[in-house]
Amino acid sequence: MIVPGEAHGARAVRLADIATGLFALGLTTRLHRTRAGTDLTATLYLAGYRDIEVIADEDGYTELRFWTSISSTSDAAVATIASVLKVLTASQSLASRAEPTRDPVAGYDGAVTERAEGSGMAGSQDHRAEQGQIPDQARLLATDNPHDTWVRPNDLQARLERLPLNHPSSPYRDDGSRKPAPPDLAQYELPLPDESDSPADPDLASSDQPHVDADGTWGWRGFKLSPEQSLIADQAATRCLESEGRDVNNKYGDQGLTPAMRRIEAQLEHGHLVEDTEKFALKDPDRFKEKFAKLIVDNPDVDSSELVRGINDGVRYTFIYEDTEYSSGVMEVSDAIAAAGYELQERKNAWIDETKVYQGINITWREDSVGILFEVQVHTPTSWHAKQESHRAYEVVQSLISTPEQRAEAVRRQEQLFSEVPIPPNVTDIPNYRKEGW
Amino acid sequence: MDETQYYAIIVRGRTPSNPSGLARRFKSGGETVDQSLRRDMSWGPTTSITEWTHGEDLTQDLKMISKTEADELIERFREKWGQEG
Repeated sequence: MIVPGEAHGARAVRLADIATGLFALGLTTRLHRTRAGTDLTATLYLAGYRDIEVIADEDGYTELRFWTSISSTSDAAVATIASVLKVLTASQSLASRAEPTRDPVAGYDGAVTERAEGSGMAGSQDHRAEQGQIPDQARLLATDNPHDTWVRPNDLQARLERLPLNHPSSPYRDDGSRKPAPPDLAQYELPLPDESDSPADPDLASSDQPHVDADGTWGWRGFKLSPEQSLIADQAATRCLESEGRDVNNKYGDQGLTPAMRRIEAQLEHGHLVEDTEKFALKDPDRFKEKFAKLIVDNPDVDSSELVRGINDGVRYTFIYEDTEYSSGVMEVSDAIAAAGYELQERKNAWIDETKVYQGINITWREDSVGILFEVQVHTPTSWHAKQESHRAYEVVQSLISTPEQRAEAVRRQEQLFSEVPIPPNVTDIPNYRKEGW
Repeated sequence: MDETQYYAIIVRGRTPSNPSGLARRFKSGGETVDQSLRRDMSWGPTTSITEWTHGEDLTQDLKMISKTEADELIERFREKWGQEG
């Protein structure tokens, strides 16, 4: 519903909230901002099927795009469309004709690409298409690769061309002259969160790629989540996103964990955050799901909603100290994080744990505004290097589809790398800690 | 089957006396096999043991337990999950 008099900025925020909600449902979302306003494109990628796409703008105009199979019967196609219409007409968010928009949009009832011939069903018509001025470009396009660009420029441009002249998103001024092209915001975007071997890594075999089945089951490397579990993970990942601090354009202000960690870094006498902290601060959503799936499998006596709350590295940071300052540095950075208002939950010192090959100190904190856990690792340059170098081996170790030979070789590789890491002085003085009752 | 080593899995919020899962490791045909107990009382593959020793993810702890302790834990889970459905 469009609220009369609602400010342009507030509508953009509302659209961003919708994007967050759709993201939590498993759609890939993208907000496209121009001087004329903000558009949202959300895509549901389905393995083996064509994408389902939602396009929405600040004025409430919403487009749902999907492909029906031409090998199905016409009755089946009608039934599919009818079920969608049934949901829409029963929805509380359908705009009434009496409802004002921000600006008068005379004669604009939304874009429809085809008339229902001979059925007697009256529908809203696109006046420019009715006038035969502009063919519907959208139907002419086919996406062979479901992971092509999120917004097909020709589709979006065709939709913009169909808008009435006085629509704020129209590429034409009121006098019919063309507005100058908006700036290409893509050149200002920061890279998306990524792991060193992102699930989207083209070097990975297709069988190693995360996937979503037709029924909504998520799967990757032998682990699975039901649709409900996948949604729980998406909601948890959204909370991580909210607390981390980046906005929809991957830019930072003063709020959130990452800006806070940068302020803490500035206070430290010797330590510093690792390179590309912002790039790695958010755990990749598929890796989050993989971890969740493992916890579910291994902890059958715990409810999945409780397990997801215990995932502590949806947001994570690493501080580096030279060997000589490491032990005092662990306490220095811990004190600084506590002083910033975060609550210590657990500290694990792997340096003093003989059962561990991994070397480092992992500290779990609680952030109360959104209510998530986040992790801070503290490393020496050498232990950090060993962790990075052993990452590939670690991936093999933790994958169910690795063969025993592969896993054994990966274990040997990890042991070799970490055995070469010098133990920093006085590290045995750093005790483990667990908050009482946690 | 060679000698089997059992591990109680202890996730956050649980204690060694109240673990959240059970894993086992044994040799079969010269290869190491790691499994964890599922809610349907079957055993399935797990990476928890190797991740506990070699991984950086310290989310859950493992504690070596005897076969007797493992059998007791299995019965406890069987009774509890059978009641919960």
